[in-house]
Amino acid sequence: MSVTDAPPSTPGPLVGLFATCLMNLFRPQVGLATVKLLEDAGCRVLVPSAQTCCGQPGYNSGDLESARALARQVIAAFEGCDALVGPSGSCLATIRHDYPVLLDADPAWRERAHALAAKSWELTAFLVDHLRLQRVESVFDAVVTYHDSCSGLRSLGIKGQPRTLLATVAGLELRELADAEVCCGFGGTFSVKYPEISVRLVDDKIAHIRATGADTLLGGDLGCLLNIAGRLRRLGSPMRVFHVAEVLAGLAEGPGIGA
Amino acid sequence: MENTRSAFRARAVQALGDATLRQALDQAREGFVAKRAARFAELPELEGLRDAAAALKDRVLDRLDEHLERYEAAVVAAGGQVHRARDAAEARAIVLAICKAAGARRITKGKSMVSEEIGLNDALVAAGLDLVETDLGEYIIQLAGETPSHIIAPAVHKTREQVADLFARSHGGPRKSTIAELVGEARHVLRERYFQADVGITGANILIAETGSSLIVTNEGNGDLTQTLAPVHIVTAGIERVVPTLEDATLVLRLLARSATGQETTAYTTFSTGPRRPEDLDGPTAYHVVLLDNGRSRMRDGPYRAMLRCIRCGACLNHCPVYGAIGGHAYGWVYPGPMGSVLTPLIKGLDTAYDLPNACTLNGRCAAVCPVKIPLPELLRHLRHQQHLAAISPPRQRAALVLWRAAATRPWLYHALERLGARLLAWLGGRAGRIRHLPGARGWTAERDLPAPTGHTFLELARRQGLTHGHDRRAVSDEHATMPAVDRAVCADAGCSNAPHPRLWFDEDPSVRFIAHFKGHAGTLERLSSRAEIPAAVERLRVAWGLPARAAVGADLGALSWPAGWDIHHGPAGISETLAVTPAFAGIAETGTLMLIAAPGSPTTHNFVPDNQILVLEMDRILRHPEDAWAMLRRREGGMPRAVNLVSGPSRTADIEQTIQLGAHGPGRLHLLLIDRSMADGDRSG
Repeated sequence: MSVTDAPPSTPGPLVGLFATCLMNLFRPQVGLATVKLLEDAGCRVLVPSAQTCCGQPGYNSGDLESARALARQVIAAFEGCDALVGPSGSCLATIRHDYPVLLDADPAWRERAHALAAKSWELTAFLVDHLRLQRVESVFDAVVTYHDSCSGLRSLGIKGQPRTLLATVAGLELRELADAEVCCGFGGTFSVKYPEISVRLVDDKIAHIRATGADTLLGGDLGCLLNIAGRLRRLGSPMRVFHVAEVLAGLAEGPGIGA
Repeated sequence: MENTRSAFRARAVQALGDATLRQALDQAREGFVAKRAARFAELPELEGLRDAAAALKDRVLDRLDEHLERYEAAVVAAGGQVHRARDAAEARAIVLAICKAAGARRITKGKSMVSEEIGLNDALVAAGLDLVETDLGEYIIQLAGETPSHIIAPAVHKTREQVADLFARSHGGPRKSTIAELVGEARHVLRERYFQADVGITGANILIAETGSSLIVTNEGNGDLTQTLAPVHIVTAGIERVVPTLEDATLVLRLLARSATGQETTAYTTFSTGPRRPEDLDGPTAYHVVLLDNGRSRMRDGPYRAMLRCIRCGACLNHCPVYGAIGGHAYGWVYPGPMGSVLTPLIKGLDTAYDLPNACTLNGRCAAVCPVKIPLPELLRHLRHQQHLAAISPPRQRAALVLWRAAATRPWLYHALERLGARLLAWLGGRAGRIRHLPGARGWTAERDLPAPTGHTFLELARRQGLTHGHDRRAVSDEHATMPAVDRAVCADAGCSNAPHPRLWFDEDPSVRFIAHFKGHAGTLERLSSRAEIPAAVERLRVAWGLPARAAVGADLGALSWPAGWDIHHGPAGISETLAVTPAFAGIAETGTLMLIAAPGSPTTHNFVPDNQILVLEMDRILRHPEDAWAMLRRREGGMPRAVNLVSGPSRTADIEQTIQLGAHGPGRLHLLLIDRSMADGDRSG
């Protein structure tokens, strides 16, 4: 593994790992994989214990005051780090794009929100766009397909970054999904408020996943992956589901999410 | 409108179970999405036009009242009348009063979402008027007693079989089975209605302050027949439709059809300016515009201002996964999909349409395709905020948010709850690693398993590895140099200057491009070396098409030596007219479009009533861009003609199963005689 633009003698950047709620609760392996990828890339990793949630559930439910409270908490917990990195396009889109908007009218926090937003990264974007990482040392024998989560794709422009790194994973063959830009139906609380619509959307997504002939689904957001994996399990599908970080770090073992 | 919480969900569930609807929606979505994508892929500069169009609309909204005053003055100068309606009831009353004053009994209508918004049809029918929708899709749903399910494809939810049954029931006669037969039947039935109509009502895609013109964009030609043949033309339009100049309208037009149907341009784009002029042979004798506010001024002054940029293309519907799953009717009112989910609560009330802003995954695809870059997810989120402040959101959700905040702002508590949750869910998941039923989470587990965690949270594992760190800002930042600042995209506000809008650049010879694009719209064409060859060419086509030796001919072409025995006239086209021969004012190379203008030598009915039209254009009248044509019109004596018809190929419809059928209401055959004086004797190929 190499970091092309940082001489090995200088101490690497101190990265604050944003432990997303879903990762913390449902898939701690993703956090361990993230730590490994960051450390292998020469970063020093810190997991601030004053963090909880990015605030998106409140923000998307119209509770802006709660979202602001959480935004201030995240800013305070991470602003001392050189970068905030998390394995989720969704949470990171909130931090990067929504915090400055949420705190725009708050003179005490406005600049701090902008400053944190400017150094906050989704994991694969941080590795590829910022650290210029070109390859990983990992083996994963599987035919995989990749689900681009909507927030990462449209708010953060994450499309090529995971693919750049996946292309260097030994044994891995990537087959692209049709309608890759279409939502899987998760949408946070949408999935439980409008389950019938949500399930129709995930079924459409699963039809495209199956059509690729892949045996494994990868993605960069646990929300989408829990939704798709949960429906796959209910349908009795043996398809394995992993977060992309697990595969890149060489830690994707066992039957995957929900099995 | 019944839009209580349970009503939306019930309608959605019903729609999800409708296999026929699903087939129709899948077919429509795939067609619209693929065609739009192809258009935007071939012209990357369209992305820049989106910025320019958004900036244009914002500038207009900044000074909306001034633009409306200028527009109104221009309409009056052209002999028309403008009526302002504050709300739906006023708008209905104004239209009804105009109809009564005209002694009207029969009304034809072109497609207009504003007329749906104000519930115009029901009001006119209740007043005893005989009203018929003329857009094929609108006609179908009128017969079915339904409302539109899509703003540009109102009958998108109907299959061919359903339309065939409906027509057989409504028209009598044998049941037709092909789309061509169904379109032909509608054409036949509606033809008489246009000629009998006392009032024709249309919407307007754009209003142009400079000229006082209303503009409609159609493929079928029904809107033009509606607004040309009835003695009274009424336009219903929202106040946000106004743009300052013809060039501004052109910018919007470059995006509208490409975003809506993936067409380079629609078959017809018509600018109507006032009533018939003294010298005109056809056109309405009275021209009224009803400008509707209905909450728009309020929208303009608040956080939803960007919604007034909307040009009603329907791209957000076509790209919305929720719309694609449940269709338009589930939304409960006239505007569905993402744009409707913003507009409906704003017009009908936050609580009436509680579900609409919430039944969205915030995936953002709508905003990514919106031609005027309306931040639809942000507006929907803001509506949720207002619902939250007004305590309209469900008590259970509000209670959950209070608990969530109480925990999430106390990291020790939150982490303890997560640890507890991880253990509990791991235990429930057992060896299977998944949970099939979870009390309190039926929304999830009714049709999905919940993947179970492994038992420890990440933070626990991280603590064991010595990765966690309490919050100590100074210690951390002093110890380590900060990283170089991240490049941030600078939001260039390029469209905010008064510089001319970007055009779609091309380097081909204009005539070569014109011919290629004209043919691309299914027009046919041949080149002649002089005007003297026109009668013989027309005669060849007449014989080939099997038509009688009769034609409505533009007066400027009357002096040619027409074959003996031909019945030539220069008056308006009548209901039985089968052929018109018309001089074109100009050709526009950018889109392969012909520009026809209403004049005594070129009555507008010639362009829409006959089944067949032969157009004549001099090669040196091919211009590069619409802007060049506007410059020519401004130099012209008399200024803006009563009607300017931009014609790009024959009349067509895709209202039944998205299948393109030519000859919907206007000419099904469009043939161009291109007069090229420089043409050598030998080369006559088109």
